[in-house]
Amino acid sequence: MLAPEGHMGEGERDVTQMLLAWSAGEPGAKDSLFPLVYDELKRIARHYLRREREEHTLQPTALVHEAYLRLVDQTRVTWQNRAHFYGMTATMMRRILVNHARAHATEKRGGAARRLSLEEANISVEQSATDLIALDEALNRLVQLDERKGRVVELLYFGGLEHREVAEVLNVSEKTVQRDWQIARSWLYRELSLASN
Amino acid sequence: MQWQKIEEVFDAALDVAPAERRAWLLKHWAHDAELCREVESLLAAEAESSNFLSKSNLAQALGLLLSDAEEAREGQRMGRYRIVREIGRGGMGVVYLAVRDDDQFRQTVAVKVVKRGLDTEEILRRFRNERQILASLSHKNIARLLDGDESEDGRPYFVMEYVEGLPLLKYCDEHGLSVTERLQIFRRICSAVQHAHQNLIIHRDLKPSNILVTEDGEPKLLDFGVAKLLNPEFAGESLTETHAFRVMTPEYASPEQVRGLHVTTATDIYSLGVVLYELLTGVRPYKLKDSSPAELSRAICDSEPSKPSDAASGEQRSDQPPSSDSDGRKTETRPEVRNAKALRGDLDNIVLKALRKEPERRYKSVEQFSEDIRRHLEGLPVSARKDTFTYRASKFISRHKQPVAAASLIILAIIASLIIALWQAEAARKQRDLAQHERLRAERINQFLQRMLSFSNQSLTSVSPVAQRRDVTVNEMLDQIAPQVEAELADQPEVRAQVLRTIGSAYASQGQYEAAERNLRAALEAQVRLYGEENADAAATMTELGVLSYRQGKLEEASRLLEKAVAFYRKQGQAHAPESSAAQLALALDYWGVVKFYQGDTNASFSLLNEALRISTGANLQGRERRVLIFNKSDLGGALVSLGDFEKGEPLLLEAAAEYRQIPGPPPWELGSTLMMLGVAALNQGRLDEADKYLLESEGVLRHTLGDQNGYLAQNLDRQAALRFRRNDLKAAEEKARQSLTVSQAFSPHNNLLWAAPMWTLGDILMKGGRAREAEDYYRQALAIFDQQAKKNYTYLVSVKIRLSQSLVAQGRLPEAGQVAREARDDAQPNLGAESPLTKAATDNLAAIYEKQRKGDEARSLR
Repeated sequence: MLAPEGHMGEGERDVTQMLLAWSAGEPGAKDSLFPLVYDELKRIARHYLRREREEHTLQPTALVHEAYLRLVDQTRVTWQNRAHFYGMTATMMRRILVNHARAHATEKRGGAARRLSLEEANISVEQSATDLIALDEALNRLVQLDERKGRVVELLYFGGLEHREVAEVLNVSEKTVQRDWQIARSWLYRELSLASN
Repeated sequence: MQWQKIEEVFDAALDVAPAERRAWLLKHWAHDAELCREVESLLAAEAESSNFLSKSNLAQALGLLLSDAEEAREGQRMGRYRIVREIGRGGMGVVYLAVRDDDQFRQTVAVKVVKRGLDTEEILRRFRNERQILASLSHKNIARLLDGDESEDGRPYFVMEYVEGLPLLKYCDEHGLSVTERLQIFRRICSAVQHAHQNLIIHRDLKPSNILVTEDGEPKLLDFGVAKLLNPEFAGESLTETHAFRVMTPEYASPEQVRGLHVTTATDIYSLGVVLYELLTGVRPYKLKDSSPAELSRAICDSEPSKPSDAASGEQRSDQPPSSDSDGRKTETRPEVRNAKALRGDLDNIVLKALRKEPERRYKSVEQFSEDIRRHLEGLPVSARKDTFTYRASKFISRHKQPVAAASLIILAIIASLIIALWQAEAARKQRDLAQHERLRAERINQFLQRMLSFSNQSLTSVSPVAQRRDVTVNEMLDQIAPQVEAELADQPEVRAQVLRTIGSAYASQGQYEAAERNLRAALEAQVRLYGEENADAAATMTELGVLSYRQGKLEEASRLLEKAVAFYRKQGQAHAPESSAAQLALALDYWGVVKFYQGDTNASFSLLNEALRISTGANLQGRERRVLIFNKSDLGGALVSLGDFEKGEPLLLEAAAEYRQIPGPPPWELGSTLMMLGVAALNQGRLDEADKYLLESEGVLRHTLGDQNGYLAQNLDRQAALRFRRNDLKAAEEKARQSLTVSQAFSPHNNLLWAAPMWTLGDILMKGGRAREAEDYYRQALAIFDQQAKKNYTYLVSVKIRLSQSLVAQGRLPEAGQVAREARDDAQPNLGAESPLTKAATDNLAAIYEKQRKGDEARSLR
């Protein structure tokens, strides 16, 4: 379905159209867009791993940028469309990573940090904080409390975007993003450390 | 709550200097306590969270996610080689079929490249290791290394001879090879492994799928990916490979690999034995019920493989599925190989010799192994013999270590105590006249002794009846001796006291706590009557009774007895009395400290445990007594770790573990407990893989030394459950917790304090799985147990009550939840102090429930 590397084929036109449709509020457009972007994201990631070994770790930002450039015909979209696109990839990253974490039973991370039983006192907050699953759950609660702050975390952390870009995506000032980020991060941190007590 | 308000105040507070924020808050918002509290806690979180949600975490996760990504494509070049297609992939590398077609040659090769995204230091190191190993090998039955370099994208690769062939078992089956032909191929494999060993290389992952056989019948050994290069300076010495368990293929792994012990060339000999077994019989030597590490350890370390001839004749196969997964071929038909007769005798012995549990009892070298097969092929006598009777007897003792070793030890101990008593009687006699009745007395003791000797003799020679009855034997023996002591030694109070104590200890070592207590109490009474309370014999018995009471969960009684013993030893020590024993004092202090710990008196506990360690460290203990020093380190370390002081606790535990490992002979049970605490430490710091490794090794040691029913094992399983809970694997967690509960209930039908931990854990697991109703049950049971204790541990009580209330909330039973939550708060406040985090948690919990009940006023009154 997707165009071979370096070429623009049939696939990406669909993406642009779908993106426009979604921006215009067409129901269902996002659902058909999602798998296309998801695949592209993974594909680009592979290329990155192949090309940029020396960089060693892969920043999600780079992925999102490239997916955007590849999939979307720049001449036909507005910055609002771009905002939608970025917002979606951040959600996607979150979903990809959390599913991955669940699938691998959170091997790398601290696991659902919760005080369990006898003799188990100090679970360091940092451990629990790195737990994606717990984070994901806490983030859901944050969204309930204050949707925009949840989105800010999603875009900054899972989307790997810069403050400036988040501001653009959410159409708020950079200062607001900074403030949102600060309180949201504190709130999540407290949430995760409470859960471990 | 008023989120906007909180946000506003939080933002404003951030503009104030950190040190003044609290004062600022109180100055402006003192009238709104709830707001102050909320903002304050957010500010506290803010101060700690600067590294929280950093981007590097995420990038790492992403790298991992994508490491399975698609690899090189057809036509891509690696130096002089052009990729044709992928032919295999393992844990760290991908292997391609490639061709070299430059001006000089046209050659088909295999190219192995590190997987993308996995090029971490560790993997690159292993990869280079493999390349180096292959470079040092040159043998016609080992795939040759041809070349190596880095690809354009910077990943190292190496080029090997491309082996066109079939995996070993498939080849033999498809060509319908006879037993003799199979053995001939196997000997060529041996020569390859032998060549590796001569080059100080251990393969460590020998299995049929790593051996390809070419069309002309030449086997080629592949994949040295986990091979180990022995440092030439340490040639001949063994090495420990901590990752061995993770990298090996379980079905072909040796007991030492499963246990994470030293891996030597004998390990390869064992794996070759498994390969030969399968080659000859079509099945693997062990039946695995599942692939869990515990099952693996049970099968490989504890169960005896059936004889290949039996396996081939299908006798043992009824419950075993055909082993078809090792290289994808089925084992249904193997008429020639099923010729059990050909295997009976020599081949049975040869294969079983390679498969012995103890590395030192296998073939000394692959060469010897291969030589024995040659001798068999030529009809010469082979060196492998059926296990001898003495071997089987010693084997039996080590396998049923607890019963039999205990039986002989107990007999020795009782005999020793009698000899001492006789000697004392003899000494006394010298001072008196040799009256007639004295001589009679001595005679009676002699008779008693003789009866016991013959008893012991009988039980050691008739192996099979003992084997069937296992540990019952020891208990039966003790049951017979105990009344005789009463009857025959009534007029010899000193001897009687001594023998009673020995019998008491023996019962204790068998887990027969009631009988142990009865005998020890009788001994203590006799000793006190004879010598008074203040003497070394009575103190030793008191220590023993104290430890016993502790193990029975009677903490009050344990504390009382150990305190007395400690008082005696302390006094002796201060008086520099000849009987003073630093080791005895340190041991009694240690156990007393442990008892205090479980009673929740942590201050007293640490002071005792520290004193114990100080004394044993200062005493320059030697020999067996040195174990006390290690024991002290381990217990102090464990207590520190339990309270979250990993920095101080972990090094002590590591030292203790290292010292236990240095003790010659099989690992002592204490190592199991030390490893468990190391596991707990790693677990509580979120290092789950490491924790798993420790707990698993600990489980192995504990099962091996103390059997399948012991309190430490129950604790271990409970922690394994906790670990799985953290990994969010609720199913496995529940299973482990239930195992732990079963073990603790079987081990100690009356000490239900031990049951509380798995009940608590189970409650948490069920809660998380949304099964609040069942969780409630377990919380209530755990609570009832904690409630029964004479000296209440409020940390446990409050924690469980909070959980219980939450399980009630989850069921919508708010009034009951409120009541339990109130009890928790009321317990916490006076007993733990208002400042305790647990008191705060109990208060918050109660407030939250009030709020749910719409009792706003009550909730606020708590804030």
